[in-house]
Amino acid sequence: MPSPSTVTTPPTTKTTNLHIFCIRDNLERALILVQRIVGRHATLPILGNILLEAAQGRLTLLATNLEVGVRYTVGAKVEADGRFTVPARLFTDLTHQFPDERLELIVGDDGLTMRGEHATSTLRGLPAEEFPLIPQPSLGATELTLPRRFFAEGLRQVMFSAAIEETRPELAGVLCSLYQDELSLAATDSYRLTERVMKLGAAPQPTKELRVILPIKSAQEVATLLEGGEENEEVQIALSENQVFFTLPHAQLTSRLIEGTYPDYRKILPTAVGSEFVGKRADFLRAVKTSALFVRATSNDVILALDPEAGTVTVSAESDDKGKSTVTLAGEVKGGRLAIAFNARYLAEGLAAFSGEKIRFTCTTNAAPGLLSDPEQSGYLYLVMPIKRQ
Amino acid sequence: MKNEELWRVVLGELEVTLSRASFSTWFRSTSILTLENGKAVIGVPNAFTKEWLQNKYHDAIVQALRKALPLVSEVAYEIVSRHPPLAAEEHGEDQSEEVGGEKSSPTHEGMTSSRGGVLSLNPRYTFARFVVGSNNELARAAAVAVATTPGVAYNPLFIYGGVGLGKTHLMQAIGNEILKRSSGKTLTYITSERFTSELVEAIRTQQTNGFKNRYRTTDLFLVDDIQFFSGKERSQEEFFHTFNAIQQNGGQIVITADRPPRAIPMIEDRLRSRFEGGMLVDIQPPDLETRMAIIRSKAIEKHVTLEEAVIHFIASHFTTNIRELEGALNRIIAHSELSNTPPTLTSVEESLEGVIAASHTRPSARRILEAVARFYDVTTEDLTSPSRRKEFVVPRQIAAFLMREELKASYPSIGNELGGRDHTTVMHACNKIDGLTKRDDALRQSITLIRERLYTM
Repeated sequence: MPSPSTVTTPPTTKTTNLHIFCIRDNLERALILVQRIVGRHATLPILGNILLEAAQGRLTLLATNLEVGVRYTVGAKVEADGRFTVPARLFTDLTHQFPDERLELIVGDDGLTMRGEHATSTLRGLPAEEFPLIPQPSLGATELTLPRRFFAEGLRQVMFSAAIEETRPELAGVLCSLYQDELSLAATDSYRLTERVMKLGAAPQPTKELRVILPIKSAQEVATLLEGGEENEEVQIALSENQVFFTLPHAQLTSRLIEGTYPDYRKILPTAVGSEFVGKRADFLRAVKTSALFVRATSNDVILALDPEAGTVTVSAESDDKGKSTVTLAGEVKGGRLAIAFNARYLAEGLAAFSGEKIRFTCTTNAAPGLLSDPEQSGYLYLVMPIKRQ
Repeated sequence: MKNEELWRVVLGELEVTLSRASFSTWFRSTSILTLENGKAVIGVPNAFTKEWLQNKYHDAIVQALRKALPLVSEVAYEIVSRHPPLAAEEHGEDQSEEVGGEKSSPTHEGMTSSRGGVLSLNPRYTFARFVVGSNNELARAAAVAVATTPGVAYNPLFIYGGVGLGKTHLMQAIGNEILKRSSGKTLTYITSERFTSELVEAIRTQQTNGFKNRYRTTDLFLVDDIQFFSGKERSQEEFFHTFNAIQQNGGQIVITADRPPRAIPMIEDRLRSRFEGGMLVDIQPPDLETRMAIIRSKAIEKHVTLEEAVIHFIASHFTTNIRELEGALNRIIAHSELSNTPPTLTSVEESLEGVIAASHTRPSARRILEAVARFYDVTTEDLTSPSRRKEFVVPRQIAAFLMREELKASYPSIGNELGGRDHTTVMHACNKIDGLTKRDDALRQSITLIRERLYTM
């Protein structure tokens, strides 16, 4: 059944032309975030524009690519309410270059004029009527709040593992699941997987598990928007009809959600520990990068060999045309002997994503995925599939 | 099925009133989900579309729906999932298995193996369903020959003709027939636009080799709407090589376009000569008898019985385009199903009233001038100016010819419209073009295209 939704009614009385004063830095800061969303759209050129909306003593910038919509409010002295759209690129570049700090923006018959003490520029634009309406949360939306920085950081930690190609739409996103006071974020392209589990500490939120898949491109924008701000600042999140809304006091971002069932990845997280190695993360990463210089271009594989009896761990690679390389690592080795091949890039990216000094690598057999985790801090793990060797 | 057709009628209606950009942006992937008790629920792909339709086009949608179906009293919008839930679940299971290490070698092959670009054939497009008339019998005969002995008879087969006359139908019928006869053959059906966008993608991701191999190994290569290659040099070059490779391997190539190769602007000569090297066949608009036959066969397909008078009525009012004909028929069926009475001449006249009125508005002299000017890339002022430069003379004569044919205007009044020319000049122009169309295929095709634009503008 169609659910009722509130409708954004654009100001219908379009009697005045936009006229405001604002500070260049404020406008530029807003534009940097807003223009990221603007994409090239062959059929609807107005999507390449930013909508300026002056009303109720504020200037709001809006942009959308019909996947993500963003609005950002800038402090301004509003002389006359009004709405107008201008090309995003040109407007951003102009604002960036403009010599004056205090700006007057006024819409006239020939476009939007930006005027300062030294410069006057007029941009041609398009009337606001054709600009898409950015959806608003419906009345019955599920609402919750999260610490904004915490959430942004978590997204950044997992999203590099998401699939870039959309052959499997549900993998081209970050799975966000919230259950009581635990928020888990996961991303996988089916060759490696990252999971971040965070305790929210504060008031437990929904009682039943919430699972949504945020498209990877939106996740990047959300992370950019939510970064910064005060330690305890929160972001309000509303979910309705496959649409998610992130609201900050001065900004709002909305994105579609990916439909589909995310694979139940927890089933494949290894429970047993076969062989284990704990060593310095930086050394491990350098070893992988060194050997990566010698990988075969077709398979890109490095071989990680654990020998608990001898107490050694080596990372090596060999190819007919380039030569070969072996790097020995210092650290603790436990369990059985194991030699396992991984894609060098996946292994290196995983190692680089951690921040601790030490890293733990565990694996059961040479056909099972390898698991990276921080021995001193839980809540973050990286799983990488091995390459089968003949 | 009924909702689908109703929505198609509504979209047809809306398409004319909206700009192309708005229409293709906001009405893509929309449908009627349910229609009960006068309440229609429109399925939309995302929240942006929902907002837009709800706030900007609601009245137009309601109006168009009511026009087709007066009972509609309420219209609501609902976002629908793009992937049916079942498919998503399958994906899910499949996936966990894969992460579980069954086929877990991260070779890059696994990530880029999709042949997503290839379109599939519509199984409904068969020779059996193709209605033959004098307008298309040569085209059909050539297509059958190609389907029987692919790669031998006519290679390439180049089918051209106006919008909605059955080019794609014939082409896909060849594909379906060949697949039926020999299942081992590989077949590629693609539009030229798709070819271009895939090429661009391949260049961007530096995988042009994969792109080349994909098409060059196919046994039957069907390319729709080749005229969109016009001006796209890199696509033409890539297509040229693909073309040669397939022909050398004994593969069959079938091409459609809205005009003959010579009339497609900005196509390299080597490509043009290859198109002309095979068999060129055209499809003309069907005559009255053929149109009636088409309606009969469609009616049987859709399990409705129509009186002879009704068939005649539809056939005589929709003359240029089979798709229009089908649209009219769908409308009639929707109406009769709704009112639960078989269609009669009176009810049909009523239900088609709006459509016929729309399609029968006579174009004005002004519009003819504009259409001709646009087609030949000159200005209307050029056409009415005293200048007798070669590039204006023929378009001017065509404009005169069309005013005579379409508006039944008098020679002196046509002379007036064309910048105060003498009526004898106009007579000469009309006779000349009339004579030329009988001999010159390209010119005839150009005029058909201008006519089409006149009535669809």
